[in-house]
Amino acid sequence: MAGVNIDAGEKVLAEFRRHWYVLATESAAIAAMALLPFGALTALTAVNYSERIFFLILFMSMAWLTILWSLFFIIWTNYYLDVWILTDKKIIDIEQYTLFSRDVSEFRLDRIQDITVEVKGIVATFLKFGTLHVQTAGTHHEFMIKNVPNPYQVRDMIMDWHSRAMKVNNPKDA
Amino acid sequence: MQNLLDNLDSLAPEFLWTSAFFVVIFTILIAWALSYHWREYSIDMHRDAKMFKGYLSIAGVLMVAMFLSLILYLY
Repeated sequence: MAGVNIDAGEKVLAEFRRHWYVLATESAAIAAMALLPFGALTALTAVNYSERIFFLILFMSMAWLTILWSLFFIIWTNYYLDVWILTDKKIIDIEQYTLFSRDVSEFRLDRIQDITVEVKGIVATFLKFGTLHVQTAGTHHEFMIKNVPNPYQVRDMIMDWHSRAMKVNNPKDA
Repeated sequence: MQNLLDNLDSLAPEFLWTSAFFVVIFTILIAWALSYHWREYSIDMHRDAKMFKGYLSIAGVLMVAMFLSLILYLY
């Protein structure tokens, strides 16, 4: 994958993406617009129409749905390619903003100093997603994964692998 | 409603064909951009190729249905 360095022998442990709720909210408008053709076809039954008109409305509906399908897949691509990859040595943070706009950064697990979990709001609480803030040594940049599912479990997993990395790199300190 | 349908029925066939080809060009451009992303930034090539094929299949079915309904309307 372009921009991502995974060394030979380095194990990919997990991939973290945003919660499905985020995808659902981002594509809700498209889902609503996709219902329009069905509404139009249903409304046709209320008036006298010829079979020809039915095919005209069907043509417009299919054109509309083709465009919406492509727009939905752009949203899906942005969602899917926006990911955190946890390996046994580091975390790779891939921020996919839009098509042709992304940012890849990484930090070693033994550089982690602090992880904060932030769960805000009733939806996030009940659907169990939140934001992880990771502070690393020697950098002012704070790494953040937004709206990750089960943030406490993710934090524990990262901290567990952080401890292992510390033992490997600094056996006396660990 | 009847007026709206009459107006739609009076659209020129050239306009409908142009609209259909606009949708095809739009889909080709999006498919090109998406294929670049799925090929270049893929984490799991096999799984990601399947997903992209899923996109193309559904887009293809919708476009075939679009052209069939246009042909059935015009001829």
